[in-house]
Amino acid sequence: MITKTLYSKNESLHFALIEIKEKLDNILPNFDFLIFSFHPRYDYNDINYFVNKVFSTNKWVGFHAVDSFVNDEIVEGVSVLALKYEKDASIDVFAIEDISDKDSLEKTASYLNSNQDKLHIVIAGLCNEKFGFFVENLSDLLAYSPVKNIVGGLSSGYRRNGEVLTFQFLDGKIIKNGFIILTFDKVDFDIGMSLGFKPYGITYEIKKAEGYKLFSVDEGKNFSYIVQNILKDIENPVVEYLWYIPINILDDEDGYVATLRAIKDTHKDYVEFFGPVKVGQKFKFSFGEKNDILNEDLKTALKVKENVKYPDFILNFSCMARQYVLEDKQSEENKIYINTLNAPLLGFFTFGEIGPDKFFKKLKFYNETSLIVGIKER
Amino acid sequence: MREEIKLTILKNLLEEVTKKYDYFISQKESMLEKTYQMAITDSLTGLYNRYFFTDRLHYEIHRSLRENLRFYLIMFDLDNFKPINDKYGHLKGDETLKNVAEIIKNNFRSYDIVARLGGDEFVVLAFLDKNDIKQRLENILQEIEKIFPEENLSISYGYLKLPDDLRDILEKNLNNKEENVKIVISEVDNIMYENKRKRKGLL
Repeated sequence: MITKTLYSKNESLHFALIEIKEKLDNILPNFDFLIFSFHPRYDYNDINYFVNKVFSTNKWVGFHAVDSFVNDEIVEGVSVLALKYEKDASIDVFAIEDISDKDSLEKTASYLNSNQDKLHIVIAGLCNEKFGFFVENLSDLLAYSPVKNIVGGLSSGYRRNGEVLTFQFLDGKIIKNGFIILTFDKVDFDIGMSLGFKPYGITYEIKKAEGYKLFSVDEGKNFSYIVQNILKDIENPVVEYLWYIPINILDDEDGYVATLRAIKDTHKDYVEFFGPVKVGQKFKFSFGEKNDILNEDLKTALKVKENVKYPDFILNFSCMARQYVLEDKQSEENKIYINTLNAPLLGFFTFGEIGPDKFFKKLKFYNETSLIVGIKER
Repeated sequence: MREEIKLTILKNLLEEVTKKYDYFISQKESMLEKTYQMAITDSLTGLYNRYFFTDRLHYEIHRSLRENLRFYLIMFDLDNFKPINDKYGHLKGDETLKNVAEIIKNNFRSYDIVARLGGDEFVVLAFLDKNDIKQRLENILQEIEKIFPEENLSISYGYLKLPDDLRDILEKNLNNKEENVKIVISEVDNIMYENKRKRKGLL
């Protein structure tokens, strides 16, 4: 597969797409598929029209991201990965327009169960903070194990005119409360999960939780009080500081770190996360900083390299909170991936990541991780 | 700036972790203490149980021989308790045993070891002189006879001064805990029953 990554930071969507098309005409004019990332500042109603007009194809998908990664560049604009098959590889697109539809879960599970030998890239919207639960319920319906072929992330965006702009786009459609799955056939691939936060201390048990909100732990202790205490002695504390200490939720059966949750906000009686928290779950606090995270990124890239050797391209789903913790080294993460795997990279700031757990037992909804996949045409 | 914030967060996190660790340890200790208390306590009366008593008796025998100390082993057995159980039921019987336990306990000091051996048998290790003990036993008898006068509830007792009363045997079996404890309990039991027989006509 020949792959090229391009971007434009032009303020006009139309001109940004023209700029990309002109560059692409010189390096890969006969592409087979395009994967776009759009900054939410562009009017989403124009996206379908201009992509079709400029590229004259329906072989594309797109999604919102406040920042995208094009190799080691961080882009606030339009980014694209263009692919051209050299052998028999192909990409299919499966879409659920609204996850609140009754049969959306069963339809997705049935699709994944009947395509077990393929790679699935999931790109979803925030879905009114329901997608984390959707992933966990979907995991229960998967009829195969280990789960090593599903990875993805939640689009990142912001609220405008009452809408949270974390949408997906495909020919003729704007998906506002659902997701797309890009299914790659006849490819070799490997998924890597980079955490990088070290767990500290003794385990807490969740006593009261609802959705993404955690009220109390252990003997009914107010969790918000504990969290506020961790911010004491800091002048003008902001919630972003808590991104240094995501909680590590432990696997129910085997006790290993199953997933991370980053704090979205604190209230008097509860703490709100970027993902589901459930009564009975056990967790530890963790702490990480840029060098720990980058070390883990390197280990992850080396593991993917061992399995895929020379990928045609890399996708990186990296949490916005993680990028905050990386501080001035945000582009280092992608440099590590590119230099280790010697391939072009497209990625984006996510509001949550989707991937297998450490031992591939289940599909997980993550926060504050970087999930990568190296893909090579078979 | 960020470095300072990170250090403060880490310091606060470690404080929280330490606090939780301390709490965890204290919970464990309190659970262990609870478990230990349960293991040495007679669940009905709250007095020490046979397990604790025999262990302590052996210890005190050993200590008295080594340090040339004296203590009294007193055994009690209720008289006319069975009719209370039969006529009024086991709940009343249990209540009576609790009252008796309370009376015996209140007539000794906190240093003395008061235990229920089982059934209506009670024992005390008392670190007092003979006159003092006699006075306390008299008080106990009077108080117990007030609990259930209609059934003539009373109490018999016997005591040994240790190690003097059994010095030769105890020294011979110094390292045989079970044997010494068995001999001592059997001996005080005989004394108590001898007294009970003597009082039988009165009762």
